[in-house]
Amino acid sequence: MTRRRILLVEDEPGLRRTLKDLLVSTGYNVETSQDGADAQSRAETETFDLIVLDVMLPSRNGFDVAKGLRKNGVHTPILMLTARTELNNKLLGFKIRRRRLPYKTF
Amino acid sequence: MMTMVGQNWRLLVKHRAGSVQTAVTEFRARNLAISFGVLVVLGISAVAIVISSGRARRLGKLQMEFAAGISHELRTPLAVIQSAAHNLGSGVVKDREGIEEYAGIVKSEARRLTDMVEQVMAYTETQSGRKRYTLAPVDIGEVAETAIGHMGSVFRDGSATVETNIEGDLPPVMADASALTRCLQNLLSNAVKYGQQDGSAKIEVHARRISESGTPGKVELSVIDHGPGVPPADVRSLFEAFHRGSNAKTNTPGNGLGLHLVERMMNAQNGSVTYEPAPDGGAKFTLIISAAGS
Repeated sequence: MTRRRILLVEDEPGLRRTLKDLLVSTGYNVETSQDGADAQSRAETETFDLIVLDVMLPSRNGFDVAKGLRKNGVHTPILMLTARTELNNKLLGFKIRRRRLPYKTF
Repeated sequence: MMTMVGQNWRLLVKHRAGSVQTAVTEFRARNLAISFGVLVVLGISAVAIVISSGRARRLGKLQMEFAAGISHELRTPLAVIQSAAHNLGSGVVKDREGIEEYAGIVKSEARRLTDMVEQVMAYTETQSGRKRYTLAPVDIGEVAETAIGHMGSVFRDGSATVETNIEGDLPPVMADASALTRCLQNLLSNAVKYGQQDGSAKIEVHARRISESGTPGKVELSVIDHGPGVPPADVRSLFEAFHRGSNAKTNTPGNGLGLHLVERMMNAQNGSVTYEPAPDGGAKFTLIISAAGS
């Protein structure tokens, strides 16, 4: 069976490493990116089953990446990952039609 | 003026100013001057209140931003530690090499948390005036070595390089070794964060003596980066508490206390800190401190 492919976008090296290990151990094929612009470019040119997207990223934040992807016709499901639990951020996340907005409390 | 003539009395009263009309005019002019003076005082007070309330509002806003920023700064390393602990506990990582790498990650994040807590504590201590600095002869070379050593992996993983140029016959300086090291460390940390060019920060640390006749002189310890420099709009507020550079990205770590603490700690050691643009457009911060007497 083909392993599901996930793009993990996270700029914190420690979180990128631990989340990747966790997802790989669960049976996913995980690609990583640490930068918003790079993530958007890869998500538009490659095929992923899921994008795990941090909100606070260098060059382009996660909300902008998600909006850009939807605008350019990429409908890959996105899980937004954030330490920002303020209501405005939750609403903004849902406004861009995220299925879930989990927080980095683990 | 009074005159008496026979049994008939005639009383003549004259104001010093001459006529009653002149006296009234003078009285009015004096009242007008007093009223004007009161109005000027009221006006100055109103302006002072507006300025001070503006400052208080700005400080309040900065403190709110600080509270929001520090909570994010605390959460990120905690999330890494929790995530690493989860993977270790649930057997995601089992091999020795992986466990060692995880130990390194946890250690580095714990160091980050410790630095942040120490920074906030140092701010509280300087604000309350409780902190006492013990000045003694300190070797600048040792301070530079310790501060660079504390920066840890930043200079080892290639994201920044540091080159030191310390004059050979530099005298010791009168300083609190720990506080001076913290000042240099804060400047190095800023240079790494804001002095990036093409994904890497090239930092220089220079130390030289400034001779002054009749005194042991002073020592200048400079940190220079080759990044974009401090935006002109930020220069005025550079050393204010809670102020963060307008070029700080949303994910640039920091709390707006670093340079403020450097200034407070340098002043407490009878020294100072200055900023000037580096010749190539980067930033140059200089710590100036008295050399120890012979």
